[in-house]
Amino acid sequence: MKRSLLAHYLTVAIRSLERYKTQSIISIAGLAVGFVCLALSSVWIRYENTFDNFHPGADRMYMVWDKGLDLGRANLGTVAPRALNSLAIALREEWPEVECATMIDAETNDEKSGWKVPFTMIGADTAFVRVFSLKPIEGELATISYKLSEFNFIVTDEYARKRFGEGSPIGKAFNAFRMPSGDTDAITEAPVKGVVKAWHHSSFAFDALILEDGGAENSKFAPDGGFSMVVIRLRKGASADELERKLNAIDMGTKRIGEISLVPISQAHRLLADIRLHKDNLSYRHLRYFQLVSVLLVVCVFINFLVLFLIRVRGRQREMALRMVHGAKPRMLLAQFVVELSVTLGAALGLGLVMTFVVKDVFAAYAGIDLEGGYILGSALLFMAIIAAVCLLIATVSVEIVRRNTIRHSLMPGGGRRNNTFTKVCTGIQLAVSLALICCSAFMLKQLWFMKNTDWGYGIKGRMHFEALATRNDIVPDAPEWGGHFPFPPEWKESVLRRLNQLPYVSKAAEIGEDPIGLYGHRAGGMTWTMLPGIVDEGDNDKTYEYVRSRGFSVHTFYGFKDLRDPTLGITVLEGALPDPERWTNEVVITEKTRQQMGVEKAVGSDIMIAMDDFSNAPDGSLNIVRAPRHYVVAAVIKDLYLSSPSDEPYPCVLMKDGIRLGTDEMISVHFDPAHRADLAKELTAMFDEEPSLIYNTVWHEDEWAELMRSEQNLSRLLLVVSIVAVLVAVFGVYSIITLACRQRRKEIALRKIHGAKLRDILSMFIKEYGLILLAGAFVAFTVSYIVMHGWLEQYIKRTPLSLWVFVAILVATALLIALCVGSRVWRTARENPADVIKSE
Amino acid sequence: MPLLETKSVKKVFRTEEVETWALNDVTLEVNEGEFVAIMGPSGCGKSTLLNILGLLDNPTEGTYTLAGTDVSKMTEDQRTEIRKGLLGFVFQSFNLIEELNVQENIELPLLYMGVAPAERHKRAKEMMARMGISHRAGHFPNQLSGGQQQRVAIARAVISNPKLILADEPTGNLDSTNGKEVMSLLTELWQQGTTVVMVTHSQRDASYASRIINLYDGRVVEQTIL
Repeated sequence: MKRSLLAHYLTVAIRSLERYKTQSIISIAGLAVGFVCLALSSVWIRYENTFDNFHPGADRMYMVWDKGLDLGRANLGTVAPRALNSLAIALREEWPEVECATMIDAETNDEKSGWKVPFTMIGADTAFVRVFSLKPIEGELATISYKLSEFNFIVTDEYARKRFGEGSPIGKAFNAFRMPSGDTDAITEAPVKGVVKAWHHSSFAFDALILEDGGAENSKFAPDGGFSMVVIRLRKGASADELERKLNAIDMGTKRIGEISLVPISQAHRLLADIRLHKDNLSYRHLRYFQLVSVLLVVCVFINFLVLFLIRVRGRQREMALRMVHGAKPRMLLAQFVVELSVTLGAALGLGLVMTFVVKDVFAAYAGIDLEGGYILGSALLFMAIIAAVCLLIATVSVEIVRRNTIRHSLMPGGGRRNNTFTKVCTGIQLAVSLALICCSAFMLKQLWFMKNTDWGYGIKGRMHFEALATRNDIVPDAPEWGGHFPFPPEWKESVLRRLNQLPYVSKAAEIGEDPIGLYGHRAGGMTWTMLPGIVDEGDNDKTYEYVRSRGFSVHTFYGFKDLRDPTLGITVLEGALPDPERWTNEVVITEKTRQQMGVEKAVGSDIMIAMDDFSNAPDGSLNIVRAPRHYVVAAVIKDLYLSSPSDEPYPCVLMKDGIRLGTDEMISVHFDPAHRADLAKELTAMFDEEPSLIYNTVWHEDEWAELMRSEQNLSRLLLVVSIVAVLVAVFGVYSIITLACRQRRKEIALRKIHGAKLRDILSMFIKEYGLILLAGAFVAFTVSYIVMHGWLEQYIKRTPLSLWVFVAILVATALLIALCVGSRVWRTARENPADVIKSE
Repeated sequence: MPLLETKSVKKVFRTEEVETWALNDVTLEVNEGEFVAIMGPSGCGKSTLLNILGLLDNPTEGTYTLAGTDVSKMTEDQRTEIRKGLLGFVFQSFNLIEELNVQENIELPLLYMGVAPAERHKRAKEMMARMGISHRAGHFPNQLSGGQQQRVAIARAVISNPKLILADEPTGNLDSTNGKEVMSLLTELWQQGTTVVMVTHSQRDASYASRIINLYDGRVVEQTIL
């Protein structure tokens, strides 16, 4: 295209923007918001799907997950998807499909643990080097023998700079407290032997690394050393699905506990987050929803923009014809419209880029994306450019279709009967997309409200609990404080309970031992075992255990409750009675789901067997597991406990007094008037300040619940913003279209008036027309919304109904809005003097 | 050799129910330097004939030779190429582009001919001075009177120095004073050597021409040399 032609097109395009200023601003701003939402959600999704893809052969790397070790997502110590070491060794040595396999253990030496420069340490067997194709950039990849005093460390270049400053870290002393493959309270000081390049965007990113010689008999990574994170790399051509199938089909003896799953390494971070009960600001699933909604927003704004543009193109048929008369070829006309479209889309792209620049850091923090701001900006720009290009392509094709009219036809005075069907269809599509967006957002907000006000099996409102832990100050030189699990001082506890129970807004404060809601996050207190109704005695523990294991079902067991009848827990009994704490021995309380699994109507008084293990550490540090089947009697059935997420099916639960319990069992629960939460928090702080040698963990149940619903809350907020933009765009779009329609039909309105039509006849004619368009759009939108929201709600255990009144309310509100738009525009046009109109037309 | 020549040109407009013969066996010649007025009652096919002569439409049957080239079966692109620099158009309703100002409207044919901006501006300014509308260069069509608009349209038609000017009722929307001015301009152009073919209802306007062709029901019924 010649420069002078381009300049001419640009001049016309800018004049057109100026002429339709308000429409242009709405289109540009709406498109920019849509572009940014869609681009950032795409950047985020891409980031989520490309973890660890920088390792050579990443597409063949998998994490091996023994689901039997997941232990119901809430087991102490289960902080990663793991498999038994024996399976990892078998995979490496006996399975030809597997090129190499490594066992990994990780630990964070964080600020909470007292480290001034917190770091993540990984301990792995030496196969780690091969699996991840690790190469030193300085020094060597030295190995250690487990439990030998001669430790050494490998650090990353980035961490070395942070910890030691510039210069070579080789030979410098490095110490760590929490060792991934050693005793948890050992302080280790050893030299740095090697430096490797730091990993980013990885599930296995580390600051320091210990490579352990797996040959040592008492190694953490020896076959009897328990379980680890296991990562394998398959040989080229080997099928992961086939290997997974084989692993689950054959008898693996003691190498497997539950079902084995091979998780692609790019997805491992999501599994890690899930098992650690880490709640993202926006879950991956919700992120996909948001991306879909962003697409809808772009479609909505784009249709609005395109419809108005096409209507204007149709109005410029005469101009097109004149240009052709004066030498323009069809492709030149098309080029002119492409330039005009490009100016709007380019302006939206530019504004979108500015918006992305402004929000990129907030976005990165919100999404937990470990990428440079420039990279985010570049990726977002790429995505936005692609979206804009697609829009431009669609718009170009549409314009070309509309443009194809004969010159002669356009040049004839009054030539070309206007056909409004096209405009009406586009208005309908625009209304449908907007209504669908509004509808989906409304139901998401309704579901959120519903979840907030639903019984989840235990008390949330006006409930909190806390525990206090003693401290030690002599751990490591650069770790001045560290919180350990030590007994709760009894005299302080009694004084606290007395003081709390005297507060007017506290209904009750009591020592409860355990609290189900405290099981969120890392502080878990239960284990998953197999349960079988009835009494089983096969002669010895091992046989009884195997019998129960082979015939039973999984249950999640919670231990350490002192008094389940305590109202501070907020448990609802459905059958039987909660055990008397004074005479509580082998009675258990089960949830509805457990009763359902037992297949009985009445469960109270039933005998059950649970196949448990007793864990202990052998003197050499290896894990000692003893099979311990136990007999219990059901005392009561309570409502299901929803403990991990509103979208998770409630797990069959068993609550008991004793059992395997790792922790302090020293929780104090408080039931209070929610209006006085701030007063209670102040009072607790004052009490805690009186005993500064203790570390306190407070859990406000509403906060915990809000944390569980963080993703839903954030999704709702985002949807609300998107919906408001969609509503604004839709309302303005409809208003603009009606304005154009009135302008085009001025003569018709005048003629109708001349022939006896009254103002209300003309108003009713327009309202009927747009009413029909609204009904058609609403029918499509509501059908699609119903299907989409039905699918979305499937993920929740308790769902709000897709009530008819929501659809009706949205329809009525939109109808009123449209009636207002139509009324105001038509009123103005219909009040013109028909004689003047006829003359001027 | 005539500048344009039609032989047995027919034009039919078909709808689902009706077939209308707008032109029926029209044969005519226009030589270089002629000023031809086409007259006839409404619906006799004057504008249809002008559209075909101006390459805005193709005949249904017959041949049309323009400057020695048979253009009756050309594609839109080819017709556009032929039109450039050869034909200039003046319409009854002026047909200025609302989005362009006076100077830009006048420059339009030069723009599509690929004339350099400096040369374009120079020629447009000369043309505006000649038409007496220099003071309106930056104005848009809706800011001009009918006479001024038609002068802009004529300026635009002649800026590329076309051999043939096709005028469709050029004074139809003007008062008598402005109408007379427009006819004077067209006559001046004719006298300078440009061929003019004009469709008109007005006997007075037709009197400026060197030949009058009368159409009736799509046929040439009479030709008068003045």
